[in-house]
Amino acid sequence: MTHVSKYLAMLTAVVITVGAGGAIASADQWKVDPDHSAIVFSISHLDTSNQHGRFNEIAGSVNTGEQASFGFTVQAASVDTNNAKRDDHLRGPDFFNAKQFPTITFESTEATANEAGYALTGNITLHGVTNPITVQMVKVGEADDPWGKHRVGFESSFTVNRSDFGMDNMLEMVGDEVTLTVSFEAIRQ
Amino acid sequence: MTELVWIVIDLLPLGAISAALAWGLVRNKDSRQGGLPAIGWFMSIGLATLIGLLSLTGLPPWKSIESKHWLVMAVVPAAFFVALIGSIPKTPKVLTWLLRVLVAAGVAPVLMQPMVRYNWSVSEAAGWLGGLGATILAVWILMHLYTVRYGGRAPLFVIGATAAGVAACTFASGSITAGQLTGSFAVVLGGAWLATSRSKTCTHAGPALTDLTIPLLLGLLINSWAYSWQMQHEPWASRVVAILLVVAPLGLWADRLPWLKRLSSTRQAVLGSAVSLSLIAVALSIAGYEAYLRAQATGPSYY
Repeated sequence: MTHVSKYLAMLTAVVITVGAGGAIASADQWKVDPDHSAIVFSISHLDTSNQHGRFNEIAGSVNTGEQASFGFTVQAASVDTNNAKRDDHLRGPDFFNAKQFPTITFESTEATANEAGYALTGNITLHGVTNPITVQMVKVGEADDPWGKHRVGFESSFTVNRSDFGMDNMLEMVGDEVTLTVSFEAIRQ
Repeated sequence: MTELVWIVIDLLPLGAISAALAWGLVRNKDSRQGGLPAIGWFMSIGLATLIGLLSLTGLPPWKSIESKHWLVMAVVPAAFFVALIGSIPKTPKVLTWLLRVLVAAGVAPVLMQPMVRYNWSVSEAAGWLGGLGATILAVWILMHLYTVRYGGRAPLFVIGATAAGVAACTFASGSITAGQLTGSFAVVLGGAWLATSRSKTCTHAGPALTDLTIPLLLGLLINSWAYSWQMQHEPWASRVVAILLVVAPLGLWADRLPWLKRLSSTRQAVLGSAVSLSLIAVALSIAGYEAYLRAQATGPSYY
């Protein structure tokens, strides 16, 4: 084997190794697909009914490898309760104060795989206040889409008290406990 | 509407506190020479304002400080300090004016941190902060000159009325809590105005009053305009309303027009106050029209 051939062989080996390594690394990396994701909330109104709303702008990433992790960022101003005036009020300082606290975030600090999906411990930051939270993230399914991308879906429901995040206005009319459902698809990177 | 009435009623004890403090500290004292009575006048307003704001905002939660907390932590103490220094006899004027310039320049950057961080480019931030600082300083200078020459009674009234106007616009435009903050300030000024209606101090202690109230009034206005007002049907509405409320106190200068010199000083003050009130009324009309349009679009009740 000539020197040139040796170098070519080495180069090919390096390329294959790096490529394979990259493929292994990216197999665990997922990016949240906002078009197939939703964060829906419900909250008591006058102790009479539960009102529902959602956030329309979601981003996030998931790692399902050994160092599993989940992270989401939600734009607070994208709150949508099917009433423009109420949404304006929710964006203002009486509730989300979205100009001063534009994002709602969740970052897992520990993600343990289990039969249902992942048991997550992490920090949720809302209205500028960060509180720890533990949730079960249920794996709904996994499939290839018609365009050749591999997708995974998760869902989780949990409750938070908005007053724990300094959102304590109008508690006599609008409940403290908020039930959140996070449902999302993520695309393998 | 019932809710709004109760919010106003809730604020009235602040007016009583302010009135009691003002009456106790400055009654029957002449402050022609400055000194204690002048300090007492603005201290009564400053203390009642601080009580009012703290009762509404609570102590600042260090994990999530909002602009309303910066108002309490930074703007109130800074304005109070300038008023205090300015009230001490024989304080060099250069020092007092230097402090006024620093506070005027500092109010907007302190309150607009989230806008700088999340919403504005560097050039936009420089333009807005510079413009707001210059505006605060200009209003401050003009009100200072007025009170030095013509006393503090009418300025106290129009600044209080302007604060009430800012509060009403804020209630109408999207935020109860921000409206309450400015409403508490208006009630405090109203209480002090009523309590000292016969005090000579009010005639001669005006500069300390403007040193305290102008940065606070404009800080509260900035806080409401930037984070609360939702006037979206007419793109110009919120800026026009803000400008009208900024210049409203300056309407007092109308009573100095040359052809009004023959009027008595009381009539001049009434006329100047009327001009200020007219500007506030126009601002309220625009904010009310915006609220009406929003109610038409989505219904008046959504809570």
